[in-house]
Formats: sequence, structure tokens, C-alpha cells
Amino acid sequence: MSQPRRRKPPQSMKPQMTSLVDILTILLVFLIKSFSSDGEIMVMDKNLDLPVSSAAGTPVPALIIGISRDHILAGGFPVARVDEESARKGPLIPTLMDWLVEKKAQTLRISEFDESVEFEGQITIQGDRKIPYWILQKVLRTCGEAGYNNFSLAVVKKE
Amino acid sequence: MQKPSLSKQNSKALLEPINLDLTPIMNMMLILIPLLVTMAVFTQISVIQFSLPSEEGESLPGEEITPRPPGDVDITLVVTESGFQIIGEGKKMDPIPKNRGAFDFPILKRYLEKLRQEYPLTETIVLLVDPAVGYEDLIGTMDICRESRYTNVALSGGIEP
Repeated sequence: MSQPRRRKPPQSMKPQMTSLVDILTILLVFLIKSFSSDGEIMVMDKNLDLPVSSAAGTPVPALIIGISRDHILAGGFPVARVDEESARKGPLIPTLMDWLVEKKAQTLRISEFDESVEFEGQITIQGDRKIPYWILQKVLRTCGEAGYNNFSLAVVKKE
Repeated sequence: MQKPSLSKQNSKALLEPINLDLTPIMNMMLILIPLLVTMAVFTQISVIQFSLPSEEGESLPGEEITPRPPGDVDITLVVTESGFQIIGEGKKMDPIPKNRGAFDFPILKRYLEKLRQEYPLTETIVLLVDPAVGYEDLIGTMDICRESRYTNVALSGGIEP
């Protein structure tokens, strides 16, 4: 090394990509792990704030009734208003009843042709954490009258 | 330190860092990651299942009522705006008042544990809930009952307003 080393002419910038790729690979693996392949049984309404519980039951396919602070939702559409129901005497919710009876008739009609379809009376209730018990009671009573007897209360799993 | 068999040009190529072209990988990541983030489920949803007795299932005339073992009793938990009270076998336990406006779940748990030791075979607990009680508190109460190993938590028809 007798000659002093000459400085290299400035090359084009090469950012160090390896660490970035490391991070992204870990992210990718994590996301693939959390990705559930069996699809969503339940679609969550954005206005609903579910209560937290230690329950560990797995969701089953069922008719979904949502109870938000203002509305009662059947299949994602509002069928009754909570304030109107609080004013109404009587244990049932007529509009919800109509919807349930129609759904039951539909299922029974299908099960006449398709043996794999059976009426099981499954209902999933997604209730907002702030709703009072009486509205839940009314919904339960209405479902029971319509022939739906197996209930699931949707909750957010506690960590 | 050079191996004599290598030509000068070859050895120079070996010593230089290999510059992988990572751009295609980055491109793929940039597409895959947003896709998976939008699909990821961050809140685990579970359910609490219970059934109401169906109409045809109620007390068939020919059915004999099997006598229950002595450790199996009826336990009713009354939940009202003022707090809890456990009623069973005609006896009342001390009411559990609310603690600073919130239901006192730890005390309830202690009471239920005590009952569990007294009547080890009981698995059913009936909740009698005031219509004004919030849904969140109801779920919390059901959780406590389940944690005290009462596997069958039933909702009673409730107090008529």
C-alpha cells in the first residue's frame, strides 16, 4: 500500500434494505397467522359496542339481531326503535315478530326440499353494552314466541 | 491470503458485497401487508349460549320427576339496581349492595364460592334481573356465575314492571 487510496467517486445512494425486509417478513407472518380462513360468521355493526366477557363459546351460524342504543336491527336493518318500544306496553315487539315468523317460514320451506337445511331456532344477539335489560327481555320473549329458543349473546373475548 | 487458483478478477467479485435487488420483494410486501391488515380480525368475538325451554318440552304427563340429590338446590340470584341478593331453598343471604355505584362482583364471587362448598352438586343458577339493569352488568354477573362453576346460568322471566 504505497500509494494513498483514492476516494471513490460518489455512487448512487443504496439504502440498506435488509432490516426493512426483516420487519416486513415478521409482519407478514404475524398477519397470516391472525388471518382466519373459515370466514366471518358474524358481521359486526359499527354502532354496537359489545360487552367484554370471559365466555369462550364459538359463534354459530344463526339469525343475527342487533340491539343498539336507538334501534333494534334484524339482519342488519332497523325494524324497531328502542324509545318507541319503551313506550309500548306488552311483552312483544310486533315488527321483529313479523320478521322472525317470515324467516322461520322461509327456512321451513327450504327444508322441505333440502334435507340438509333444518330449522334449529338459533339466534345471535349483539347487544350494546349500555342497553337496559328490559329491551333484551322483550327481544328474548319475542324470539321465544316465534319459535327461536337457542340464544347466543355476542361478546368480546377478554384477553 | 488469496488462493492461488483464483484469478484476480474473480477474487475481487467474491470480496464485494452482493447487492440483492429487493425491489420486487418490497413491491410484493407493500401489496400483501395492506391486504392482510384490512382482513385481520383484532377483536375475538365469542358467545354465551343459553336456551329457553321450548313449549313442547315442558313437563310431559307421563314423565317422572327424578328426585334430586341433597347437594342440588335451587339458587336464585336477584339482580336489582341496588345490588345483588342470593335466595335459595327459602333462605335469603345478606344482600350485596353496590359499591360506589357499581355492582360488587368480588363479594358476589365470595358468596357463590361459599355456596359452592355448601352445595357442591348444584350447577344451575337462575338470574332474576330487574328490567333497568344494564346489559354489561348482566354479562358480568353471568361471567362471575360461570367462573364459580355454575355451568347452567338461566335467565328467569324477570320482575314484571
